[in-house]
Amino acid sequence: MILNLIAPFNTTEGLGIWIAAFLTLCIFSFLYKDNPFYKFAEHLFVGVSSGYYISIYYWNTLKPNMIDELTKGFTALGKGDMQKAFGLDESGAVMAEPHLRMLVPLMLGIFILLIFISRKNAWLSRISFAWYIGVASGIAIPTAMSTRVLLQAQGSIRDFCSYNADCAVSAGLEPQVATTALWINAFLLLIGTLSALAYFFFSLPSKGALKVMNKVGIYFLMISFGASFGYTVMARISLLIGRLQFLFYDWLGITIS
Amino acid sequence: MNIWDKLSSIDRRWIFLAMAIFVSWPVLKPLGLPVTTTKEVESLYSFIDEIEDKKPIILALDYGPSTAPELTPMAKAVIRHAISKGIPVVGVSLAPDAPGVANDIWKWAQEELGAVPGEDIAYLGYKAGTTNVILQMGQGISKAFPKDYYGNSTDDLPIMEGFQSLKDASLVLGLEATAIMDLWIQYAGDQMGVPVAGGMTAVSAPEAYVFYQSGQIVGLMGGMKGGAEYELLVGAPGNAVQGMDAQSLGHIVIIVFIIFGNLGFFLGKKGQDVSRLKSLRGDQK
Amino acid sequence: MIFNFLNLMFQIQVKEGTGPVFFVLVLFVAALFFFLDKARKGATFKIRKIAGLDAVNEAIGRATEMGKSILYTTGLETASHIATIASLTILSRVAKRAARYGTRLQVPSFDPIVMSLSQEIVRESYLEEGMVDSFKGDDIFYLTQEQFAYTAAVEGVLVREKPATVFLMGYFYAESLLLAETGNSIGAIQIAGTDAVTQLPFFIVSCDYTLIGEELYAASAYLSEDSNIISSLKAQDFGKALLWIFLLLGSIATFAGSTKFLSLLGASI
Repeated sequence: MILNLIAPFNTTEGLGIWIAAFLTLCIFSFLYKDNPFYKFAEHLFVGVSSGYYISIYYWNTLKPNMIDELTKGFTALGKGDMQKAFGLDESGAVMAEPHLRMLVPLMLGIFILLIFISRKNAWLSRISFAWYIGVASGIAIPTAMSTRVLLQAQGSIRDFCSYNADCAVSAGLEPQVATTALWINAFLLLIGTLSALAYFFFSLPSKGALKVMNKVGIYFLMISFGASFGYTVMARISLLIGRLQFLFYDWLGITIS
Repeated sequence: MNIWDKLSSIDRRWIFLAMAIFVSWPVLKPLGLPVTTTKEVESLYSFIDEIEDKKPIILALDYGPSTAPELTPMAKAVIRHAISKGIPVVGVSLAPDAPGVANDIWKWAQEELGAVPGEDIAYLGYKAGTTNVILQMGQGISKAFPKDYYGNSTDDLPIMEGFQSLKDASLVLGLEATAIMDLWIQYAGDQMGVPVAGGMTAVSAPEAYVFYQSGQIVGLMGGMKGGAEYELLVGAPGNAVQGMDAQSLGHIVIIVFIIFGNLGFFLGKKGQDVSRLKSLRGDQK
Repeated sequence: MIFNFLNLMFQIQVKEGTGPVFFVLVLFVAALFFFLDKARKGATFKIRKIAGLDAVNEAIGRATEMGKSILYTTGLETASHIATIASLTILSRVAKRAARYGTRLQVPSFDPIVMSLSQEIVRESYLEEGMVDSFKGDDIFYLTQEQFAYTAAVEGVLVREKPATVFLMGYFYAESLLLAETGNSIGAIQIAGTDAVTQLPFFIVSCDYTLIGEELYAASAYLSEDSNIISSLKAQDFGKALLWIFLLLGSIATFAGSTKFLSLLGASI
């Protein structure tokens, strides 16, 4: 193991690595207790990230989609080319670049801002919300119904067919050799799905068979939450490993021999 | 305070110290613990391996620097695999903080793999809108991204020859730190019929397993482990494989402290007090 | 046949394979209108008591007895997010109790619009209890829209003010455990509710009571006693019941070798 503190300066990032390492250690110092170094790094992070996001949103969203488009539209309008100004080509077909068609979303955006500017005219924001919710729901609801309900329901019962050669062939599925473990898995999946679904059924009181199913359901839910918890712990440790790799390899220049 | 109560009330700073020691040690001195591959990652590897028509893979880099340790190894391993098979890779981003990370990966691909920009790889940059961008890509890639990240016209790139819309892609691989994976599955996968696969942070991976089980995605890489598995499958162990020793020891530390905490809780005075309190309140049925 | 009719009469082109989705959506919307209609005609719908709701009253009582405050956070999403809407309904109920008992209620907000809504809701609740003079608008405040800056600020409030009761209701991200741990460390009773599946495990281990996923919506329907909200919950339950029956019958039939159910579900849009 060889330590090489000059290593960061052999890269184009140089000083940036030292600054990143310093800030990393400032944040880590909070693990012992709150201190001015942590506060400094935290406030710096909040300020820089806010500024960074404002910059990102301006350069990647507002400028190309709104300012540039409107500029091109008004330029074309100034040259007397009405079709091009509204984002239509010579044949009248709609182009990918909207140009002055962006005036409509601009207006809808201004309506939303009226909530903060003018209480008297804040009602106009409802037009924007209605448009947004209507379009978003129209796109999202049928797709979500297909992806998250129907195809998931199919996935829950498909294994019973895959493990049966005749059924698999007639359903166009690839037949699978079913071991005992796979059959148990398929039944567990079904029981877990049905009992968890029953747990969230609020119209009937939790009595009798429903009470039993609710209990089974909550056990399945807790097992899944435990798995999710474990995965999240893994994620956090992975991020720690990433930071340590940076500190040891990039900052301290340690090479493993 | 008896031993069990002490176990359940260990100062958290001792836990942090133990974690720091046991995670740092393998980073400095690798242990060489074995890493096995799982069927979710193997099926993704097989899928890419079996792509014959050499149509591009869309690599959606939808993450920022905060989750790069988990997702960048996946990106590099998949790009290495695709380039070795002669399959072009077209990168897009739907997350605003992704371009910086993506640009670094693209530079790496050129330097390390000799990938030719515009022919083997192309990065189209970030566009706001998530759902709308995916739907637009279905109508035409250049409709959504008229220019690539470096200012070149998308239609003029050699990589785009015969590749007009998202529906022409051989695979969409989403590297996700957020819920954008759902949108790729819904719109690219179910609506447009493009094969979709996921590379998720370990926080989001559990949610994606249901899609793998139902066949809606062809493969799944979860967390740094998923990246390590893919690195092994392509025969190029990198940062993710290096991190697995530390990952294993970190998990052991957590498991030990969970056992301590539970033993302390159930056998200590605090646990007995809580049980008594719950039975008085009639919480126990 | 229906799609051919639609195509012929109205020139509506129905994409092949979209039948099941269309049918399910129509069924669900019909159920929704049915229950809404019944609600308007005066029918009352019962929903079962949600475990954890008793704890809401208990928790508010605890804060009153100890002479400490209540902290309520509506999560890190906007006012259009369903979890935030559900949280605001529960806030109304909590605010009424807090007004009745004279307990201080603080609501730090992540979103400025949610802050405005929270202020209106809390003021309204105090008014209904006849305690509008006790209402303090400054206790419902906006912090920041940066995730971890908001988290750090709320942790600061928790550590300084030491509320006896903390409500974490809404949509949360990675900060969920940070907030819940801090609340735990000050000895507060914590009641959480979220539909963020990835954050539920953290709330379950660190909070006293957790409303899991849909329980949050059901709780808000239960507490609001609004027939429109309850009837939409009924429609959801109708959909769930149908799905449950379909899954059970489908599994049995598929196990017996039938492919009918699979083909019914196989279409996408």
